[in-house]
Amino acid sequence: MDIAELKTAFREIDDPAEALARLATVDFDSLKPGEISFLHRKLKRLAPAPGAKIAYLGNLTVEPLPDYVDIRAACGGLATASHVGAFGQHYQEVMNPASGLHAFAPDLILLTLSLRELAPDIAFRFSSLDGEQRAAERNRIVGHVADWLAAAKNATQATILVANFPVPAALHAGIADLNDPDGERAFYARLNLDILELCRETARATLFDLDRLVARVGTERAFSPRLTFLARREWDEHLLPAFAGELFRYLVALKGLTRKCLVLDLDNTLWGGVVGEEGPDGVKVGPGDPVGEAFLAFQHGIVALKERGVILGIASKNNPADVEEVFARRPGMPLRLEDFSAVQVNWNHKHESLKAIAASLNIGIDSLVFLDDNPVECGMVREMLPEVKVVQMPDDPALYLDCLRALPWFERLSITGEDRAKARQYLENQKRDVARETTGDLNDYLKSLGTEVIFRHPVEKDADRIHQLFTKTNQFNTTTMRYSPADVERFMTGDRFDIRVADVRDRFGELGTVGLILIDREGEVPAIDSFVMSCRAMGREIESAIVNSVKEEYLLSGRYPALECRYVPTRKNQPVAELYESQGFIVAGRDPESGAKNYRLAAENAALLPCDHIQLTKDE
Amino acid sequence: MHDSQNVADELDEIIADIFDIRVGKLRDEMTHEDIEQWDSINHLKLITAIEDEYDIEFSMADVQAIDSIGKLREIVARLRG
Repeated sequence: MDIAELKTAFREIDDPAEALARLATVDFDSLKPGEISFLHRKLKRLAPAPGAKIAYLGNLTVEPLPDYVDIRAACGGLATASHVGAFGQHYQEVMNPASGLHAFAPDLILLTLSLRELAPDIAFRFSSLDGEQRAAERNRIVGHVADWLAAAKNATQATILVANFPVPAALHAGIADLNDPDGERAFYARLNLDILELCRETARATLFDLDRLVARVGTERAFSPRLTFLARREWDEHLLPAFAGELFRYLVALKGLTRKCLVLDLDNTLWGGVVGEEGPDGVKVGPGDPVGEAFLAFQHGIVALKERGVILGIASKNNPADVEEVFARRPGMPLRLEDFSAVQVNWNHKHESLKAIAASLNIGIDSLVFLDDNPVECGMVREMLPEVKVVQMPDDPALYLDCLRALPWFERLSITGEDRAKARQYLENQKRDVARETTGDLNDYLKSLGTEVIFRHPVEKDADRIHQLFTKTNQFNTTTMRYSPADVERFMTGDRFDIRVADVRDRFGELGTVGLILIDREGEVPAIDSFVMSCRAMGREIESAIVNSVKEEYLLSGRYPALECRYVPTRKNQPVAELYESQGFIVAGRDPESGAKNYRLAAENAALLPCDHIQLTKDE
Repeated sequence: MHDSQNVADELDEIIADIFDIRVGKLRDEMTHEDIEQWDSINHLKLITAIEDEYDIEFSMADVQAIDSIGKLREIVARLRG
């Protein structure tokens, strides 16, 4: 909305609900300081019933931060009221039952302390203190905060945010400080760690990470010596919008405004280009190309949200087969199709797809955040489904990740054990899914991984993992036989089958038991019944090392005249459709209906594939 | 971008926003005695809002010297060269 129009409207509005509804459509970041001041005064006069009451306590001048916070929250659909404690009276406000704080009954208290007031020796005379005095000051500051925190918890029902202490832009001893074991840089790091741990250990308390916020804005822009000397107002105007934005994130988490599901468009949102035009190999995502790098980084950001517990969805106008092919053929993408809990790839209107996604996940439309690069699609969804938070991607893919991270809608105060377990599962992928799509030197990358494979007979405790590999592996699975635990036991004990598992590790750590091969020796010549590998081990030619080992053992040793194998296509195992061809097997038969292929490799034709970037060890 | 008439209008708009006063009522000779909202907090809000708008910076002496609308207009004109 045009700001002049908004101001005109605000001069007339006398209904607080209407004022809030107007503000909820405003982009907070577009507002200037004077406009915030104006809008805040008008809004305050209308006094909408607050959804959150915030008290600001401490020993520095916080105004006009509360104006910014109130307007930021209103732009996010939340009405807030504020109480600013008297300068330096944070203890008295809490201890005195007749204080303004108690009358106000806050939901949230923010404590910001300036060391200029609390510990002037640290702020101004750091160089004249010895190590012991510095440590004593640190303990005194932490003690002060801890005592206040205990009192504040005791006296109120509020959630309490405690700001940490921004590292100063300049150090008293200059760069020599960095070689002082009790130096100023170390002092702030230790102090802030103490404050972090104090908050973490105190129920109802959370750190407000002012140090990181100030660093983000830039210490020299965030603080104003002039305002400090004039009015003990340390925070420059530059800091305030970011400060309000950060505080709003806490409000989102506290007030249950957190959204559950992120729905993404695909073409030019999740990858560069249009798959219907450029094809699955033509869309840009992955290393070796600046645009591809930007989309790669963006996808990593989305994976991080998933690990936080955000459900992912797709709403894309595309042919489903094209989309599946991108995910199947671009294993370097951090996001897999399986990461998305609701997928709407069709030619329906986006708002129809969003409704279908909400319905399939059994969540409200107002739990959705929708990202799309197309202004027309964004506009239509805003029009049809105003409850959805619609985010139009910036023009430059370089800014996509920042745009995603700027969204406050996925904040939560802590992440549960369940979320974290999910996160661990994806951590390995994150570390390794890097240079697969590189157009540069793939061999250098593979060598740099330092992959080691232990190809061995399974032992009893491997049974569960083997069962899991059979049942859960979709992509690298040549026949997709979903064997039962009893089948697995049979493979491991009888004479008919040879089963081997592959443990993989690389310089990033253990991938664990990620592959297996099952060979049936009942026929005239042995046949590979199943060859399965977890997707996290794909793309580094481990399959060649394993097949080489099998060729050596069964064919090159003279043990058998030939080896057979089979590929049975499924919706998801496209990545191994040509696997056996690439390993030198000859197609011996093809089922035109199912697309299944039988292969045979005679001993005299068996050759090992070069695969010297993998070190394979056998157990016998 | 700002020609001088626009600058004057924009400046008055900011003053009006922060002091909650109609643009047309602003006079050079007005001081904090005449404008109820002109307290120390709003004084700094005004300063930082103007700095943000014109990308200028008042010195501490300027901030202290601004005691009337006229003085403010004069200092803004000087800083904008």
